[in-house]
Amino acid sequence: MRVVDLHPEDLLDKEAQGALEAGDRARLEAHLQHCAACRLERQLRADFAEELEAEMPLERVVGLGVEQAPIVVPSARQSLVVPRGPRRRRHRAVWLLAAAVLLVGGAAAAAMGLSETRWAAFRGAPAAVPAVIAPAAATHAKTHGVVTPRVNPPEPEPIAPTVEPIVPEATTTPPPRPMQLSPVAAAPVVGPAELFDQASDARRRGDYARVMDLDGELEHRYPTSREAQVSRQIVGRLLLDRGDPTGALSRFDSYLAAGAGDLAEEAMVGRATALDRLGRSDDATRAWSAVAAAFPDSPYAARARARLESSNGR
Amino acid sequence: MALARAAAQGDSAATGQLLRVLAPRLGRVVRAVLGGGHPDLDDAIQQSLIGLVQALPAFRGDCEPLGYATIIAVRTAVATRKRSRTDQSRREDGIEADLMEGHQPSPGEEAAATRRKELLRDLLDDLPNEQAEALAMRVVLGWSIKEIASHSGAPLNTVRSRLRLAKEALKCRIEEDPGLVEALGMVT
Repeated sequence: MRVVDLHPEDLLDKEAQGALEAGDRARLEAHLQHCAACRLERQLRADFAEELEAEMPLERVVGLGVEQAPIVVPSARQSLVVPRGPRRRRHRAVWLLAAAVLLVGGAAAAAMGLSETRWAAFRGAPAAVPAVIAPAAATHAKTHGVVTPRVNPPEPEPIAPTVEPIVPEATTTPPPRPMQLSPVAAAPVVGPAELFDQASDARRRGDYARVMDLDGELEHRYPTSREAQVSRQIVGRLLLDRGDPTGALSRFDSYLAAGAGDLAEEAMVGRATALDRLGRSDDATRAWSAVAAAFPDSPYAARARARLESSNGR
Repeated sequence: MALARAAAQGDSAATGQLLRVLAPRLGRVVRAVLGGGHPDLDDAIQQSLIGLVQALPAFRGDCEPLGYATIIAVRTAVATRKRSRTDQSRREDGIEADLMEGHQPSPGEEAAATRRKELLRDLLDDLPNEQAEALAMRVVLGWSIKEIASHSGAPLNTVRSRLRLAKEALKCRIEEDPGLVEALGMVT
């Protein structure tokens, strides 16, 4: 390995800042001609710049309205209870307590659903915290164990007042949390378009639980509507991305069973991907074949063919 | 800065407000390092926030709170990748998820960009922590060497050395596969 090779990072920085002069540009280009690593670095920085700019509000991950959400800091002995609504939002509790966890120690960690292993990993994980500050952080956590701010048991939601404590998970790596459909309770009658719009808004906010509720309501009340049909594809993709290929497959199948639609290609690709993830190789191969046959010129066709070649080579 | 200082002093209201301000940026950083389809993305974002709270007491205001928090996010994400790396199928899943998540992907450049990013993420898994973190700050965050040194607290030459080693590993990774340069869309 030629570790003595010099890479002109300073010139790449100047270029990114638009401050590269002619002489420097010649030097940089000469280097790039023979250095694939620097060429790749330059392109990757542009790639990631786009990705970092892409919208990702907090709600994208947690389904939490952060503007309104209080940071709740319970005492170490208090067990957190959350209302069990039509969709119990575990992530919500997690985030509400994210700020609190280190102030109150392991009890809060348990309350927020962190396993003992993970909590222990946090306490001793130098990779997650700058090494020079970890000891001070530990001291801070201890000294703030006495902090006991307001903890009012949350008001039960009118739909389902049952409360239940959040229990710690048993393993460090939790299994994918499949989304389950549950019907929403009685609500003012709204049309399919309004339900669909509400689901779209919820999806943009990252409130997936709400998306699922609204999708269930669409399916229940307006199963033959165009909105319900489109929602099947959208929710199928959502479930796939969220680690629930079984639920996704059901959605894609429902979409395709309803007849040809504008999103048939995406639904077929989603279906094939879900089958792959479920380990149903033969079914997946057939599904990819169908994609390649039905949409030979589409962007997904190459992927389908690559998948099929891969399976033939096994 | 005032908010960060108050949070560092143990003001829980300030801590909450600071988290709300920084969380979206931390989420994007973790997502960039892990990949949008990584199964541990949500957990890693939470971990980075917890890591931030844990580290706040030591914040002295020597640097911008965002940079301070970003370092934690990078370290958390790199550590998460290393922990959760399992098999080839997971990598394939990540690529697929990214493609599925794209708003309107054009298959050519979009696919090449995805492959480039996956190559980088895979390399992060293999590199020693210090090199992986430096490379992620450099490539994913687009930081200059001075910025990396400033935020991470490492000497400038140490950062240069880590990056040089990381880039040599990257170079080797590319040279192992002659077809990769074209597939990655690496034009000069």
